[in-house]
Amino acid sequence: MPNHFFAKSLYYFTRLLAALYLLTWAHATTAMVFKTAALHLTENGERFEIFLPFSQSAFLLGDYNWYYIVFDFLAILLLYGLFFLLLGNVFYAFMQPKLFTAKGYAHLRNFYLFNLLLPVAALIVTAIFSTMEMTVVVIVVLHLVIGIFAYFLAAIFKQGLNLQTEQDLII
Amino acid sequence: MAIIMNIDVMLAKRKMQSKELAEKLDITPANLSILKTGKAKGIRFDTLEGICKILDCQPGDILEYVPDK
Repeated sequence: MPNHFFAKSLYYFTRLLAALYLLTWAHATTAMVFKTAALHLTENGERFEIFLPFSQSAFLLGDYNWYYIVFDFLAILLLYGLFFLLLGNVFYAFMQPKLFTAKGYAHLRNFYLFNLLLPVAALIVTAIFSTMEMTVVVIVVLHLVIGIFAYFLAAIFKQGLNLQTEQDLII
Repeated sequence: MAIIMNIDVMLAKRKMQSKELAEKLDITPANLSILKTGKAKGIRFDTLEGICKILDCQPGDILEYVPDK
């Protein structure tokens, strides 16, 4: 079925993105915490580079201060890893033979809660500890829009689930 | 639910177990239990036909109307 093909493709694609973000977060966190060989400081310790594992090619760069590292770097990697993980779960729900299930609704609910709450929380923390840029505000607004859309989709799923349950109780 | 199903009475009369009836009806024991305990929202005509055929009875023998108080 065409819709299963799209859902399946998107599911594997988002799983790949989630894995990449989370592995990058794990690698960067390990480098920062344990000051491994992957971490390289430049400009008199003002900036950092993180090398790809087992190489000398820098692939992550940033300012070497704790609030940038925690809130503008590691937190972003982790949050986007979780975002793609939750998005993958939504596509997984659309892959199933039965669309309206309690698990499918739960995946949608987790996705809209994530998009409605975490970006705003991250923005507030960024505003307190770092400088807030317009780009960040725009991205947060985009996530709010995605969250609102997912909220209404979840409401449809809830209704569908109720109808499905009632249908299943006609023996 | 004002409509109740007296399947247990007919099962006892025909000396048949619920599991056997579920197998012959090709429904799960869980669904048969839903029918027996009054949790079902409805019953399909082909399921009712199957019950009457297997238990050799009429719909009126297993369906009863008890007004809600």
